[in-house]
Amino acid sequence: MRYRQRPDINETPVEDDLFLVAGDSGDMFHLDQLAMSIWRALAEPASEAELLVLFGAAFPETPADTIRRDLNGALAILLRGDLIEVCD
Amino acid sequence: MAFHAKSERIVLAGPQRGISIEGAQALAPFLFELIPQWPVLPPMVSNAQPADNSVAPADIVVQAEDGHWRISSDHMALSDYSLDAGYMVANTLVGALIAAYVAQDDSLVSIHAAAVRIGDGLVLLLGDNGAGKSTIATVLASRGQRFFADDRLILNMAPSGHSAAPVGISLAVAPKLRLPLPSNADTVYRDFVAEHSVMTWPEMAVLRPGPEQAAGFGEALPLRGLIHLRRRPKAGKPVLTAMRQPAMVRILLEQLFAPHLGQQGELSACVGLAQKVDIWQLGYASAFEAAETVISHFNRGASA
Repeated sequence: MRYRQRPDINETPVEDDLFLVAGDSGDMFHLDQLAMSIWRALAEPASEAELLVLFGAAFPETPADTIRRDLNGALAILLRGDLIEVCD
Repeated sequence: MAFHAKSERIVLAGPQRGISIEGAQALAPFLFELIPQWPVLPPMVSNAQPADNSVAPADIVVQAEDGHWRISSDHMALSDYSLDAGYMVANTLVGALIAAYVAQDDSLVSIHAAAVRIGDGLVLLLGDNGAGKSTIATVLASRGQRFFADDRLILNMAPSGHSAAPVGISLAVAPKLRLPLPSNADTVYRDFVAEHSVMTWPEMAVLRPGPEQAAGFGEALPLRGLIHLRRRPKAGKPVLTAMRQPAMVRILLEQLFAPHLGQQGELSACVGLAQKVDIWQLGYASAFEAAETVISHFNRGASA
């Protein structure tokens, strides 16, 4: 299963964080740095396994289980907010 | 005060045209204690007359029926109060009036905040109900700082010059205080409250500071600081710390009101505020010590 950003989301960067406004509902979201990194990575479709490899390389000193747990949590939040969608 | 009974409407000044309120005559005594300086207009300038000579709908409609007051407006969710809550209804009506006011101009927003002039600009105090906005703002006023608002303020987000700080505009809404006053209130503050109280209930007082102490309707000043209040009863001395912009944007999203701009417009206004004005958090236990900290900090900044 691969994920990607939904196209109708407006981005507003503020310092190192990102605020998103969903185009259809107008709902607003504040992404912390991890969620923002995942959001950015999903500008192109990627699976959870691909994201694990990407973030494992970016944070080599962080245990893989920790990365997996944080990644799962952030993906769930992005999916619940309709900020990303399953593309295949 | 003379109203135009034939129309049964009160028409108050807006930035572009009058704001008409229907059915509020019974609330007028409360309403004009809260907004004593808001200019009243003749009904003709409220709305353009429709071509068929029918009466244009009022911007705000107040109805008393079935034991309840109901306030409805295109710019605010419908409110419903019991008939004995005259003051609360008038206070909500002021909220509806402010919403209708900012809806006439895309550069205007309203914000749930207190505001006091310190040095050469306005300092806004933000926080949820009970955070101490009214108390600290009126303590500051009792110390000679010019009072602008204790709860609601209009902001012009686009004053001339792109990099210019947003401007706060007073509507001269009367400040309200919870009673009894804090047990550590000093004589200066107690005298200030006693001198300027115009309505008093066991749990609340409405004040009307004079023109020397408080901004008049339409008086405007650039913003120079936003302070998020965090009341901590067991804290020691007040601590003022710089905030990150994203944290302030989250707070502003809860306190800024501009439904005419849409969600993206509200977010842009919040980001603009956080980026153009110094942003702080103030942890405090005593409103009196907090006021001294604010005066000391922003007066120092003004002379730097």
